[in-house]
Amino acid sequence: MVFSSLTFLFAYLPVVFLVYFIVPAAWRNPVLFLFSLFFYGWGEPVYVAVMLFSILFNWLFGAFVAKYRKKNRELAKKWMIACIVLNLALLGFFKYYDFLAENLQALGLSFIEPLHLGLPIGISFYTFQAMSYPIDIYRNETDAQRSVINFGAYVTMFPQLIAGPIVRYRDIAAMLTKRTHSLQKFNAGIDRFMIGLAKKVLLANSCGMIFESISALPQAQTSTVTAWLGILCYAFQIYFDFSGYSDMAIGLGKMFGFEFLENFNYPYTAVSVTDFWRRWHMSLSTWFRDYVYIPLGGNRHGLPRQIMNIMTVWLLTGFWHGASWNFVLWGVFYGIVLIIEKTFLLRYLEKAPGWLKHVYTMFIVLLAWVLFAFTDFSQGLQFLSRMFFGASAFINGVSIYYLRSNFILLAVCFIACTPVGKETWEKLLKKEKRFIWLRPALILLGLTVCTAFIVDATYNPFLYFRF
Amino acid sequence: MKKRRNENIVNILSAAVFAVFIFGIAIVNLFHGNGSFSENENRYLASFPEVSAQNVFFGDFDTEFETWFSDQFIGRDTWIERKAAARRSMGAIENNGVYFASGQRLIQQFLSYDESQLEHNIRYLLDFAEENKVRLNVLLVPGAGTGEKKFLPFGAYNVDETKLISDIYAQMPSQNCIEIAPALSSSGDYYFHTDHHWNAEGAKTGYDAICRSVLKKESLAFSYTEVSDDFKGTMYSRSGAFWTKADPVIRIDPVHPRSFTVTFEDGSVMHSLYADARLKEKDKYTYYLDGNHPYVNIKTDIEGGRRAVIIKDSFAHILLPFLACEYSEIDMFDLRYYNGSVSEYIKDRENTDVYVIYGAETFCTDKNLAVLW
Repeated sequence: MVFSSLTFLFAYLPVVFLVYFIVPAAWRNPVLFLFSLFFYGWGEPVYVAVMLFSILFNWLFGAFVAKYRKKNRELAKKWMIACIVLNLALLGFFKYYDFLAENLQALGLSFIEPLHLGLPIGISFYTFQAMSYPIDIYRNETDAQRSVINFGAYVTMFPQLIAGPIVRYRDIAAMLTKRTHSLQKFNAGIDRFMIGLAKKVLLANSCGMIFESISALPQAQTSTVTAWLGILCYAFQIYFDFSGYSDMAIGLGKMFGFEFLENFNYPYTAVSVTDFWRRWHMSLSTWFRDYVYIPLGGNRHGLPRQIMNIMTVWLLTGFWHGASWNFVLWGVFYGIVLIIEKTFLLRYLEKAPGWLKHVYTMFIVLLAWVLFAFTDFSQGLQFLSRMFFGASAFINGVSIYYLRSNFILLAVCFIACTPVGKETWEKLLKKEKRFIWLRPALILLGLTVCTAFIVDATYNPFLYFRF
Repeated sequence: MKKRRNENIVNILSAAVFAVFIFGIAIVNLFHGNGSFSENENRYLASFPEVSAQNVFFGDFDTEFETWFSDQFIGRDTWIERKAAARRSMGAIENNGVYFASGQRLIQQFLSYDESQLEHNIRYLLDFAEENKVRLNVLLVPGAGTGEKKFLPFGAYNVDETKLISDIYAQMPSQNCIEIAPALSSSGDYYFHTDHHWNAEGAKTGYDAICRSVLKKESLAFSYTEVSDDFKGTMYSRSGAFWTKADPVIRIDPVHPRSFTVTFEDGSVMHSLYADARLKEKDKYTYYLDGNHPYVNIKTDIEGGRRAVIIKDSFAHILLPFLACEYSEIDMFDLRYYNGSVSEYIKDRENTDVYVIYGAETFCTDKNLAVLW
């Protein structure tokens, strides 16, 4: 069940709201926990067992780490490492087992068979969340959670279960036991949720359709302009999809009294690739920084060691995004670019004019999205070649059609990548307070249009031609 | 003080809008009756899935539930229309692959086709002609995207079917290829506004071309009667532009009355080229020859006349009222549904005209011409 589905919006969410706000405050975490488990188990009920196991051992091991962290650092460390290993083993089994088996088979070593198990939803996200728990306890950055229900509510919490942000336990520990609900906070939540929903349903899905249709064009219809438009649409799709999801998560979190950290900060306005990664999926970058890069020594042991640390982090980052070689390549590509920037390019870049910084950054980012978009190398290469010299024309009727039909959509996407919309709205409110009355109308409009797009996505009149 | 109060009222109002919207629809959904058939989608809507431990834990209960929920969602068609309207107001010139053209026309988008499939299809036809030692009369009909190009919005792109058809014809020089694209692009109303087929006027143009190129004679005279004004075709359904005006359906009769006996693959017989009952259904194009059938045999009251074998898609259906008046007997095959032999119907070669009649787009994409081989 995704947030942008009719089942979520008009069945699951109303029931959760109803129960959550009717029960006494003390029952709210159990209610949240149970409903989150239901949400998690909706697609694959059997995996609820995996989730419960995950919660239980993390909670238990966390308790042991807490117990020994003062008296016996060594022992506490062992518990922490055991916990990390167990988490990684679960993630590795579900996410990477088939990948390993298939690659071994390709090498002629077929002693393990792919299992073709479905991936438990959100496993990459909640495993990372869960791992932060024993580590932060060990580092004395937080205390163990006494209640397994509260801990379970943290791990499974449905707003951020599927696609983040990756919430670290220490950032949310206090809110688990004591948080406030207010009309104002609920409204901030609605606004944020609506922004996210609109980004996902109106922008991401529409751009996704353009990219799909462009990448399916036969060679004779291709042009350089169309190819660039295609990858630009992919960039829009993935940003609005992901950041829209984060917005919805943050919004829902607010409605239930939580404050999650921001996950995106207008990444496409970045002035360098280094800057881009400070703005894109921030909860993941922070996670890797705090739990991999710095423990490895970060930049404290000289340049060669730092380069190795950066490459390690980016190899893992790539691999985290999916069990496929193209993601590894994507990670390595970013690792190399970041090292180049760190060693000398940033110094030159700083002196460059603003527009050049943006053009350079987006050029690298778009190239990287090609690597990301195609799990099949030959397709990715074909697309790349069309972007540079392999298309049958520079611009043709097909390009003009895509530009003409999606002109306003693309313009909206451009603006939505920048803080302009938000700033204009705030300026407007400051100048003329009456504009605040537009809010309910905008919410109604947003809900209506988004619902129309979601219903339409299930509309299937194409069968007609076969009858 | 007043500012805070206003802000509070707006907050209450906004939360109320949000809550009423999701709770309201949830409750209405719960109590409104389930529909069973979607005319626009030409399919049965999902009903509530089976609730059993087996289905919930190991089956597809989740997806079945979500399909049921969206299929039975309150005001489904209205939401779809709203989406089409929203896209249009956002400057899009098409929705779901249908262009919003001028004069309330909905025109199918035709962006690309599989060139190797087309090559195969040409090969199949040529082999078929050679094997049966016949000269094929090939009529490829361009879609409205080419015929009604002048009505398309600025920036619309379609495969140029005039060029496509002449390229295909160039590859079969020994067959009799019937040129129709220029005539259908001239001024006139040759296509349904809400459907992807040509209309009676378009088919008449096709018939005239056949008279010139195959039959070498003057066209016969026909009369035209409107039998329905409420045809909402495939493009209507697909575009979601449910505000578009419906098309008329025209019955075509020869001025000198003729009688016809139409026999279908299952032996059922119709004493007319028209299926009147179909006028009550949504897809009224099936009025012509009862829509898609694998095999249709038409006998007329013309004695001792010529015979015809027609390999076709649905573009031929509206042409048959004209063509049937020229033959004693016609055997018609739709290869998408027929998989027997066509050759055995071409016994009396001297006295038989063999036609291939397709919409150009189907001819490029159809994977069933291999049956001829």
